[in-house]
Amino acid sequence: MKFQFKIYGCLLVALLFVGWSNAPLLSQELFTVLSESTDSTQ
Amino acid sequence: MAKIQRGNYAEKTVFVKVGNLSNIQKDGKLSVRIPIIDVQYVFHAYNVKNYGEDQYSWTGKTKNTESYGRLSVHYTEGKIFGDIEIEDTAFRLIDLSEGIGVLVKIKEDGGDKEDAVGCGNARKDIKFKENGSELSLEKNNSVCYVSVLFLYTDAAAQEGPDLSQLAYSAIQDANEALENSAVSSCDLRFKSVGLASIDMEESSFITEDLEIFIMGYSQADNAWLDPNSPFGTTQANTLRDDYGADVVIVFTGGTYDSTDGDPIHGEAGISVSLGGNLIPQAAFGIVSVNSAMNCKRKIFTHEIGHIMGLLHQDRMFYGRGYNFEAGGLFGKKKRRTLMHTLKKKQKRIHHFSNPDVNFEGEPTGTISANVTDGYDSVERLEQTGCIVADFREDLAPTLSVGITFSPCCSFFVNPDNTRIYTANIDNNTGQSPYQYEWRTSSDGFNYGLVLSTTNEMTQDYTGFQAGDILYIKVIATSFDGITGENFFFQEVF
Ligand SMILES: [Zn+2]
Repeated sequence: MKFQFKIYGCLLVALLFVGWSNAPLLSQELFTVLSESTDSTQ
Repeated sequence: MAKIQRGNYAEKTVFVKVGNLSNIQKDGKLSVRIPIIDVQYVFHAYNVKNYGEDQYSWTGKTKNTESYGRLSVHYTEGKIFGDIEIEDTAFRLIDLSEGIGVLVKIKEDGGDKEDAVGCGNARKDIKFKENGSELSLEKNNSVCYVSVLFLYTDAAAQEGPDLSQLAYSAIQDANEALENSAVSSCDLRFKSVGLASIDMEESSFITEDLEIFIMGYSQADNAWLDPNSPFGTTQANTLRDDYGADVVIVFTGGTYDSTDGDPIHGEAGISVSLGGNLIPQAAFGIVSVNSAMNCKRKIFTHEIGHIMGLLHQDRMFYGRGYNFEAGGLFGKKKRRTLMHTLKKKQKRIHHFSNPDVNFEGEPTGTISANVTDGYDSVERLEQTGCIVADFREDLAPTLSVGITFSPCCSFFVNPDNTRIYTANIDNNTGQSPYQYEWRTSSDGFNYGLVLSTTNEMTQDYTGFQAGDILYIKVIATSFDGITGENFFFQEVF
């Protein structure tokens, strides 16, 4: 895997579940936001 | 995600589920609320390639709004990714898994000074051989695809983005630029022949790194311009041979310094010199991953433009970038074509210079009377495309189909015109006879019944209105069962 999911893996799985369970059969939006936007920490 | 946030290009990130664009767009219009900035835009399709249910590219731009906006989304192998550009802001969409992705708002360069250039080097010190013979055109191919091999360093992979998505976008973007600029699909299109890693310790000087690939390359003494320069013997050169790549682009991950401290985004050799000397050993370019993530810069297309023999605006040479005043939509803002260097806040449009093609009502170039005047990158690209495509033998030939039209020559068609489109098959691919299927579409996604099964299709534009786009697709199948396809976007004026 190219991405490190150690921290975010669980969150992502949860979001996937929420995203899919809420998704209508024909989504009318290009983007459905699954999280708050995050500022880059550098 | 952790890695994406650490990437030097990311300012803000948000998880998104990405819908199926084929269901969401309506009549070539796509209304999108863009997360992070939370603004709604309507994008109008202008370059759509629907290869089938599992592969498409859709590009649209805003119309009649204050802000210039462009959205470009690619769907392939179950992944959806792409770029959004809203005036000064750039976003990159990265697919994590099956339609769940991350939308990244790209960080602006902190360190750019007013005189920063958007390309690697201004190359002011390079003098071309003026004694070379005029470029002679001996086409070995009738439909010319330039094969591109993408290589990446460890540092590039460390930056986090999925490089296969970045490479795919790069090729689609470059081809779209050719289409926007009315470069004939018989004369030049790009295709990827692979993505591979190389062992390479990056330096902080881009020219030093380019010297690894182009043996004898030296900006100082122009040694690389000698067509008799030997080919390099590095791993990258070996991979180029293994993949049968006409040109090689290397993704790097670090930051390149310049003498005045501004970041450098890319640099490339020029494989067809001004005088017409062919220098296949110079067909290498470096593109910084962090810079390539910012779609505003269009670094890949700019660098591959150099490899194809194009130069910056300040050279006395027709195949150069153009700087023009765009009226109407943009007020008096200056816009640059792809080979123009950029100062901070300046923007490139997705066009090579071409006096015959307008952008928002203004010509994107000026007519060239001789080799030293005018701004017409497209004329140059149509000369060099088939030559560069012939640098290396195609190892896995597909059926290459190009579309031409008659009557000649305006790219645009009027509502009372009738136009005949002809499919041209590269004489090196597939066995004749060929079968054809021509279809048209008003939105680029939904194609109707087969309109012609010969190599020609006639289209009557009666009833069309100015501003309409007709999407034309041809699929050809050779006697030995190889298929190929191509698209034509007919704008009506
Ligand atoms: Zn440049």
